[in-house]
Amino acid sequence: MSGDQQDPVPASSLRPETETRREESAEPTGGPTLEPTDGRRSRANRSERWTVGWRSALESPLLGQDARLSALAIGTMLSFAALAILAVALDGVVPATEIAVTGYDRLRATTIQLAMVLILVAPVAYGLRNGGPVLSYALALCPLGIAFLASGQLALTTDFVVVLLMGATGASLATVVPAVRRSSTRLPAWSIGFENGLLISTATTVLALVGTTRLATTGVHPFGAHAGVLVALVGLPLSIVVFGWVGWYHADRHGEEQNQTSRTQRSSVSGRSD
Amino acid sequence: MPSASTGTDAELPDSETPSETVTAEAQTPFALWQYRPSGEGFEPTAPINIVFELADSDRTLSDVMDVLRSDDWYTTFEEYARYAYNALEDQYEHQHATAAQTYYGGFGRHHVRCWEFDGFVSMQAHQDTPANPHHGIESYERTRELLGARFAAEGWSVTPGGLRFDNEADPDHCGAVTVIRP
Repeated sequence: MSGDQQDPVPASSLRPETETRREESAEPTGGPTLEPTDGRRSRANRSERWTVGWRSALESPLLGQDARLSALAIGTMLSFAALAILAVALDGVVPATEIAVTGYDRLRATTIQLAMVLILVAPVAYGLRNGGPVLSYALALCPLGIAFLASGQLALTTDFVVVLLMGATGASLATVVPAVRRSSTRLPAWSIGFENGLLISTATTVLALVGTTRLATTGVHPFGAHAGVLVALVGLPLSIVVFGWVGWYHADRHGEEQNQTSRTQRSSVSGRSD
Repeated sequence: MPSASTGTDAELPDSETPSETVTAEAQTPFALWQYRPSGEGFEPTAPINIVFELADSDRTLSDVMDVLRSDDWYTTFEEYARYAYNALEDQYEHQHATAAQTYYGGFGRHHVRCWEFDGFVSMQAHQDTPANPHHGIESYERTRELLGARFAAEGWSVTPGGLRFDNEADPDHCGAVTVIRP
């Protein structure tokens, strides 16, 4: 599970061409696959090299399939952080005039609304569109991280638990849905990225389960009233993750069988399958 | 300060309502409302519903906030700027200290703003609605009751309805003010 060299399955037989190309392009040089013509490469200036650089840095199944969307997600989080920090910095220094306070209140309201979008919508939308369980989870976690940086506090509340829940849902969808799309069956197709994503999704789902059950035991008003629903909603990422593991189990076994068949049918096999 | 002593010095049972109603900030060391600036000055947005008489004690607003901090309430979080009228100084003052259960209040929270004028603390306590997209007021009464019970559990002397302010407000504030002493 830790790298291609330990891959027990012939990569070429299970991974679609698009994913193989993506992993190749993650090499430090940027790789010829991003710049297929010699003419363009020769004209590459610093700007182009920089573009290839950040794209290479973001080319990972754990971050997302399209580096531009990954960059957009990171930019969104940074913009939100800047907005939230600005709101905190202005606290107490806004003049007591209608226009100043109205503007300040709108800044605060916008921050709250963006936080809710990041927590409730972004992880699932990003995960479905671009894969990338790590960035899906980071989108949900971002408002909570800013809250911690600004206040130095982290309290077990409905906000906190919903972050864990939506983060786990986004991460599990980001792992399983692209793998199902790649697959020729209804089960997810195996890959290193899928396997690592599955481990991350499982960990985040366990965190969500722990968070919701702990909130349910505190009974603090008004969060106690939400806890039952939240515990039940953990079933969503949990079922996705279980589906992913079922796919992993069958895909892995199928790969082993294919391996054995290949060995018996062909006396000389490619070194890649060993 | 005629109305500040009315009701607060007497040992009222919890259910008893003081006979006099405070109708203006000049009658009391406490604030009656929290305000926001408007074109014509300041307009009230929510009623003061809990007050603390700390002038004869060594406790301050910080001790009040410590009780909320011990319950993991945030003291830096997302909220609007509000003001109270300090009759002693004849000026509107930005909230002196605030606390809320969550940073964003996306799914509802209890939230308070406090002002301390010469040892008299005025608290506006309410439960926010979930942000949809703006926060509204779910209840004033629920937070007043919750905090009254919380400070009583800490050993403070709590008199629900110890004062009555002329600051009734929807959805559920009838003017009854909880008076808390060390």
